[in-house]
Amino acid sequence: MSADDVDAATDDTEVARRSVTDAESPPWYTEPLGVALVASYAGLALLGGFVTAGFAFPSLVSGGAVSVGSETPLAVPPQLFLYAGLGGFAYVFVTLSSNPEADVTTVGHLGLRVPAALLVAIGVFLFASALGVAPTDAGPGAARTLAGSAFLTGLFVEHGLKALRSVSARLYPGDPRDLYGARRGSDDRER
Amino acid sequence: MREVELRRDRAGGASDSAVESGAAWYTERLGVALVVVYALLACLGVLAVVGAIEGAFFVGRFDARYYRTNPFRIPPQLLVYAFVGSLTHVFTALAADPDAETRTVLRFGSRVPVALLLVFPAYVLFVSLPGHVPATADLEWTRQLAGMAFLLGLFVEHAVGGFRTVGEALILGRIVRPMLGRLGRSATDASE
Repeated sequence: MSADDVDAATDDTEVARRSVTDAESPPWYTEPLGVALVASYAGLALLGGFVTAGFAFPSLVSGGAVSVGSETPLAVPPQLFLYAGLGGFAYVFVTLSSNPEADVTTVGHLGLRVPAALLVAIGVFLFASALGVAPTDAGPGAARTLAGSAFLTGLFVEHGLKALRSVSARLYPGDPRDLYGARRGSDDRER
Repeated sequence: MREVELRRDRAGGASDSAVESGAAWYTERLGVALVVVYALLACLGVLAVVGAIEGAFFVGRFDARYYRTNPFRIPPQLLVYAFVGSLTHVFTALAADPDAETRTVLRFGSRVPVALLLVFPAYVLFVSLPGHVPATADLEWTRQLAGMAFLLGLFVEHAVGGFRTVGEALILGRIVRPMLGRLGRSATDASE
């Protein structure tokens, strides 16, 4: 196993790139499973949209419920998962519209990014100050900054993951390049 | 089967790590069950992280001043974050390699106990580093502490590399180094 293999496995964009080349398999809308998958994605995205608009669970998005303050420093605001999920579904539909003939397997693969996006958003929230997305004031703009970074984390999971990876490598004593260079040799070449 | 052909194509084209042989996890009942279990555990972790689960691991209350004066008392909330971080690794690895075999999926999950165990040395190391000794029990420090536990689960190999550096610097280096070397190798294997 070479370093390139590791790279291919860790690079999320590889999924999208490969999906464009699978032209020979039947598109998703010819199979009931594919239609069901896309319908469930659309349903969940629509539900998320309703929640952000305040039609359902209005306590999640209305005013004072956003607690980014110091009284509960560890708890993650549940709103972030909403926006990260919406970002994940945005990625799904953007990719689907750029490659409308994708097969069912690809559509399923796209959906796998959504749980990853939800979870990576936790790390981005906790390291918001180290990543430069921490809100500077306590007004409504602060909550919007956090929600926006959660949305972008959902949309570009691999960016969030890369940022967290560099934070993690700097966290421990020793040269971060040792962590990158020892077995993941091609990471240096990438940047 | 169509999926199998598809995966063969991909194995030939893009050098994917785990698709040379065996069926993808979603073609086997055990693989689907595993991923469902991971998803349920992740839901549990998310509920704990937003503060919906009260008890010993409740994240809504955190007295940073107490842990500043008791440096060897480890906040139990860190275990929650390490747990969620290791499940994050499971799902990001699955999103990067969606056709992984059931065995590979099982190996993704083997990080969860490793991360939970490494919380203890990582916390002691973290609070003893010059930049991380909490001068004031502030918001940033508390959040980065939780973030440290989260990243511990997400990138176990970084933590092991850090421990290796410390172990080599210590006088016990000659004993600890080969042990950590072995551990590092197995952790890197698990991440692939």
